Amino acid sequence: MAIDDTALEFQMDARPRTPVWRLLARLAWRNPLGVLGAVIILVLAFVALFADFVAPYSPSSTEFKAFIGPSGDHLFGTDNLGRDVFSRVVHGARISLGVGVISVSIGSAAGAAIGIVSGYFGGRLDNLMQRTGEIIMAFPALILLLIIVSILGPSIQNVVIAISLGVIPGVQRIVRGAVLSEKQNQYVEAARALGAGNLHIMARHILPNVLALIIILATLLLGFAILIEAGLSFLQLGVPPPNPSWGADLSGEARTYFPDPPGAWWMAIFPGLAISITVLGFNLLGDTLRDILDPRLRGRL
Amino acid sequence: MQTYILRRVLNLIPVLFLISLGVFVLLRLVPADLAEIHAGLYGTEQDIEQLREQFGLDKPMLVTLAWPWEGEFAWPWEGKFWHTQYFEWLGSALQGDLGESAFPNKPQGVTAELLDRLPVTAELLILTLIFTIAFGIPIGIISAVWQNSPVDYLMRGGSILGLSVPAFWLATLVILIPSLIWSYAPPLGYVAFFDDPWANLRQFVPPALILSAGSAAVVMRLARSSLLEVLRNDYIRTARAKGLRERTVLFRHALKNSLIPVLTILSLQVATLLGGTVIIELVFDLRGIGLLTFLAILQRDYPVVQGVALYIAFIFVIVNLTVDIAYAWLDPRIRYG
Repeated sequence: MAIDDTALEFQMDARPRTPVWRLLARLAWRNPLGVLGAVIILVLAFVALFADFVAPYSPSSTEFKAFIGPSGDHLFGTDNLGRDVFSRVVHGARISLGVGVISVSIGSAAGAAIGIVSGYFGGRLDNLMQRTGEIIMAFPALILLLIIVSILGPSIQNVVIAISLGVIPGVQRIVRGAVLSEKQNQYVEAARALGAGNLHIMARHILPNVLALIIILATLLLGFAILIEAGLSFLQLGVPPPNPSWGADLSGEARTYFPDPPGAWWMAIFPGLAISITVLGFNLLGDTLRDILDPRLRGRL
Repeated sequence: MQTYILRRVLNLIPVLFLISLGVFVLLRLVPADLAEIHAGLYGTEQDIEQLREQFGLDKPMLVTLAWPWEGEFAWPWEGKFWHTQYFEWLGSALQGDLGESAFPNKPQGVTAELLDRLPVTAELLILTLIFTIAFGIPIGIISAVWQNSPVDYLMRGGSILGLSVPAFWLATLVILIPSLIWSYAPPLGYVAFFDDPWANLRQFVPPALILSAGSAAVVMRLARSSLLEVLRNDYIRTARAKGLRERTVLFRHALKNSLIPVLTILSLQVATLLGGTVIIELVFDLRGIGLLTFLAILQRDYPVVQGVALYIAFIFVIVNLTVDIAYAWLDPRIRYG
């Protein structure tokens, strides 16, 4: 035993290991844009979690004069109802990120499950799934989601349901493609030879091998989900009014920012800027993750 | 080539059928009764019943659900079997009649309404596609040729930005900023291209440019990575080795092959753009099909939404055919495959 231990130690000493933090630092140094994306998302996550402490006022209180321009008291000014725009943008992060994260998690989990089963078993089930997916993807996602939300009625919960459904076809198609090539590998054959069942092979052997792909996809889809939520809310079929939503704050009554007479440009600028920066963060991070984890996917995702 | 095109057309028919069926079923989940809407506030039970009969809403939705020994039952070879809401709608739709709007104050039939608004959306879509191709592909090529140069970084950065900025916000800014600085407002009311091309383009170019930002970014990224992948092939090395000019290698040997995946993504982008017209037409107040779709969904005017779904399926078929023919042109193997 003692001899074995020294042998092991000797081996470890022989190949000096780079500490993890240094590896990470090197990775970060090589991907400055990815770091920028990660920083944007971390800041936003912080703002969303601690919105009550970050925002100086309540997002729904109408205690101020309407259309006060940006100033020390109101960083982003006040809106047509006398609400503090900065506080609304801060609380909007909570809704935007919340809707995005929840719907993408549900949608990509369901899509991945369908994709793995469909790709693993193949045959008639797979064919049916693929044709259905193609037809759904041929239909404009926004119009489909508008129809779904109009059936279910606008509420945060229904927006989450609609976006989750909208995410599934894309995820299942890409995951299925990866599973098709993954199941050719010898480790699958080996597992089967050892007596593993289909469920075991899918969950323990194939899933870990396509997990990186799913994570990349989910990151890129988060940007998409936030854009779709903003679009639905802008069309007033998304997050319903008293809630602070970036998309909704740019539409409807809030469109009084045109210059006859108020010209409150700040109402148009800041919520839109918040959407753009958030989506940019997820796109930058998703792109970088893809390049690091699986460069072959470049351009395909 | 002709057999190839014919085969593709035949393949697309089930898709058309399934899209119309899917939307029909989805819309009947909407809790709104056409007859009740038409009968108005003071309609009696009898009026509603009569209207229901008039619109065919008393018929089964899709198929007759009955056992063979029951009176309702019919076999597919009997005419009665096809007297359901879906098949009657499909039958008259094939003859060019999409029915009437759920709102009695709109005298026009759905077909006329769609045809009325088609020029606006068609022009917007065509201009957007032209901009998407005109910006996406050349920028993608430039970015790939000067890979990892400052130009490449600038263009890739620009494309990520294009993917991240929502079209409705961009549109809002494009209207808002000139109005703040020069008190300029875009002209309202539709001007047909052949009446006054200049006024027409002034109306359509800004929304088309905004709508193309996202899709041009997608096309650019794919054109870049696809060209880079093609340039790594052995035949490219051979072409260079035998002393061909870089320009010849690029345009004669690499470009066509690299455009195949770009075409695929372009055809998928059309669906996204159709969704985009809803938002852009709303912001720019263009009376096209996008705006019609939005209002119809909002008012649960499902005869109109069904018509729109058929129009979307139709565009899908046209786009797919064009893309298939373009594939065959780009890659002779497909023609003879």
